[in-house]
Amino acid sequence: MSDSEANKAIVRRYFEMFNSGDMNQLADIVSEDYGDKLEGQSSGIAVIRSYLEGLKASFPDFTWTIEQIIGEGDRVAVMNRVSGTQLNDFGDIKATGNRVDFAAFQFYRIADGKLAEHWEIADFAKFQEQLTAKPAATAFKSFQSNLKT
Amino acid sequence: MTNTTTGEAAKAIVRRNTEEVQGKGDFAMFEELFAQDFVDHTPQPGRTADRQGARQLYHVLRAAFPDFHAVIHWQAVDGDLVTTFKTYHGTHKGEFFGIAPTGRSIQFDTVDAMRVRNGQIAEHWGVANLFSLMEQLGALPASIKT
Repeated sequence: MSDSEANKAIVRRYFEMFNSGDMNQLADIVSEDYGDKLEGQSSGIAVIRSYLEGLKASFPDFTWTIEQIIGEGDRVAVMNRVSGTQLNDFGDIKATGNRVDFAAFQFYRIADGKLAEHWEIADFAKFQEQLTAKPAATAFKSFQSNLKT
Repeated sequence: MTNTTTGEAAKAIVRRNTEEVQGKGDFAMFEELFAQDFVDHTPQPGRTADRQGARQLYHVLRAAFPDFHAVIHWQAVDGDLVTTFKTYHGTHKGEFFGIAPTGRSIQFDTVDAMRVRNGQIAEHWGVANLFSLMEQLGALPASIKT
């Protein structure tokens, strides 16, 4: 396997780990000093661990689906979808039950077989819109569709 | 179909679109660079997913931000797929998405992937941080203002 194929494989493994929610593998996949360039995020494996666990706590079915994966040299780019249901509080947004599904791009630099740095651009406008969509209206539709006739 | 474009050449084609077409308004070059059957997998709302839709969007951006240009942070290529991470900059001097000119300097990050076939851009997928752009233009709906 070329370096670039091995790098893509470790990124795929990271996505599968997140989707399954099994954070025990995190230290095998992410470097100790993981440099996360996501706006507002600080570095280190402890930060990314609590970030991922926090996302799963708010959206238990949160899923990252890889649509394209591009590897060159020590870099891997991923175009992915982020989808899930907000069943618990997220920041100061109370549980809405709303479903989100939006596009994002991730970039990773891989060193010594682990994810060493990360950059991300996500469609936060869509995320915001879906999360703040009126839960009452959603609930009313689901109430109607579940009526016994 | 064989693809005659090598990785480095494919990156250069994508870079030329960013720098010459988007950044300088060279629309003759747009005609050269975009395949007739170009498909945009992530068109902006209200635009068609073909080369006509892409051309219109570029015109709209250049009219709204006459000094529109990108700083490319890096590119990577895998097969015929090129990804580019860049930050767009511009001064808001014309109407944009219904927002009257504010004169503000804006910047927003964008990543895209383009498939290059036989020297032309054939497919596009992109994600732009439009949330940040709208925030800078003071155009977020009141309900989600922070």
